[in-house]
Amino acid sequence: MFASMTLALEQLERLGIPRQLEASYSPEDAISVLRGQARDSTVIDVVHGKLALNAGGRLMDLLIRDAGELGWLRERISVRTLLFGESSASFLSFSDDSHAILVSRALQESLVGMANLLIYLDVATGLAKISSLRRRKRQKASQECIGRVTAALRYLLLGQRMTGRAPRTPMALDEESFQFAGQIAIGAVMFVIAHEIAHIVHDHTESSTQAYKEEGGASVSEAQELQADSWALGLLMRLLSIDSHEPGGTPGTEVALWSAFTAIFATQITEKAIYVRRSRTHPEAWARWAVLEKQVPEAEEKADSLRLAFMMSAAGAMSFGEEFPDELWPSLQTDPMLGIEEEINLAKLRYWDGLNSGPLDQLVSETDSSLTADGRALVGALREGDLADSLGGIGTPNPRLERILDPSLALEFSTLKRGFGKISPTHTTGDPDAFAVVATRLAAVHLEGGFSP
Amino acid sequence: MSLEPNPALELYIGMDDETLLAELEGALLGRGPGFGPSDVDQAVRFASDWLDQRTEEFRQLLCGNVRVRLEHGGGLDKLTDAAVVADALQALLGKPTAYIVAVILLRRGLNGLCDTAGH
Repeated sequence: MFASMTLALEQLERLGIPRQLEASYSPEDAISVLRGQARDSTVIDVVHGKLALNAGGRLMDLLIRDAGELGWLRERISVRTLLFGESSASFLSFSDDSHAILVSRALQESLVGMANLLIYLDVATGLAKISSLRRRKRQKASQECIGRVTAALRYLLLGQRMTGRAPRTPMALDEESFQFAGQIAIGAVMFVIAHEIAHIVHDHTESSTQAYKEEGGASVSEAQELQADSWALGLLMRLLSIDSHEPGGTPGTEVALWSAFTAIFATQITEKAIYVRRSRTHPEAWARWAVLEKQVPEAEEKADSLRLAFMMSAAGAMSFGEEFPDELWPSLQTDPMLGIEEEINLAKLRYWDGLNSGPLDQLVSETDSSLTADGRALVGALREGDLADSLGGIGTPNPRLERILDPSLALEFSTLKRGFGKISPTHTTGDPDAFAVVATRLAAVHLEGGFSP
Repeated sequence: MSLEPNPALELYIGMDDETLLAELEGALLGRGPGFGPSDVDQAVRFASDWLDQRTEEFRQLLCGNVRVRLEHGGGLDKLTDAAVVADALQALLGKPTAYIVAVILLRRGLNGLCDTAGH
């Protein structure tokens, strides 16, 4: 096998990924990783490394079995977890017709966390519904569950904005729920890999934001993404339907749909919240989901309700223009199934939330007294919308400034915040985080206008 | 080592630091469509982290004979220096990664890479 994909395997070695994963792990290790509770980075690396390898292997086996014309892929594609870097999934193609698909550990962790939250919502709202409370109280209890998931998602988004990485979401689901969450998380990793295989199969070699049709509408890349999603869901449904032939198993179509939903929303639910400006390479999650949903004729009403509840939670978490309901935060520590990183306590979350969602004018006034002369000049220029001047300090060398100002490129909040954070010692005598967030929000007012749907 | 004209290497020499890092990320992870959008600086951050992780391997490859050739070889120009370093890296990194890394490391200075504890 290796002889036929030499270049792909060589590339994996350059990335520090061995050809064979020798290390092993215990079932307890896997459970702690899938529950988001593991702390040992080596264990997390091993479990995630095997996750993509096994998921890729199963998809390839299915291709050989079901689609003879695509059987060649088995000998040509190598799937691995990229153990460092930010959330991403990508593929490389080489001159010997070999390909490498890389899913980052950060993305896999995000898929696991989102699957657990989704099942938490299912369990918690289900418990509320079957309780002996009267109808109105049951509805209130269900809404409280949605509120708790909103708080958990807000925690994830704030963590990403402020630290540049998604924080852990340790969770304690009951055994049966955890099993289902695990199935969905693994299915979501498979969906991402199948999506990348689809790009290879359909020869999608480069991103392009040119219009797909002359009359405008979706870009070429957006159309390709929808095609890849659709192909990936078809493959996943076939694979999981085979698995679900075991008695008592959840129907494969259902697990495949939940997996695709989790993958798409885990990757992009945060997009509007953590991106100052999005690009036109990928359609929004809502559009991607709408296309996939049509592929399955009839979804159960209960499943639709749960997805709607999850989308409502997401919409609430993403609304940085509104102050977050303070009473929702304590549930992250008092609910026995939910959890947050110890280093991020509720006081820090409330402070971060105030910086990110408080009235901007008020925050500018509050931070003004601690600005140095340079800081005051910068904030003044940002308020005026003089981006070339005000971003010059964080945008050097020049190509970086050009990228920041380029309306076709996606720009994360945390990238700007990092830049302002670096210059904060000469611009403020106060809290560097407060300065960086205020400056980022001021810049974002002008930069986000660069994207026009 | 070939001292023939090398347009690819010349192209990389003409790039600024961040463009080189973005090129390096593209060479390592590919330029095809991924699963979601990617931020303007993500590629630069990834390439910087990857270079940091490989520092010890670069030291072992470059801080012996290669460094001596650059220091005492007598008037090697920028392109030739880059070709010497790229040649030393090629078995490990392949093309074009070796070219890009050679230009980055030379620009940062081999003295900085080699003159640390233990070397």
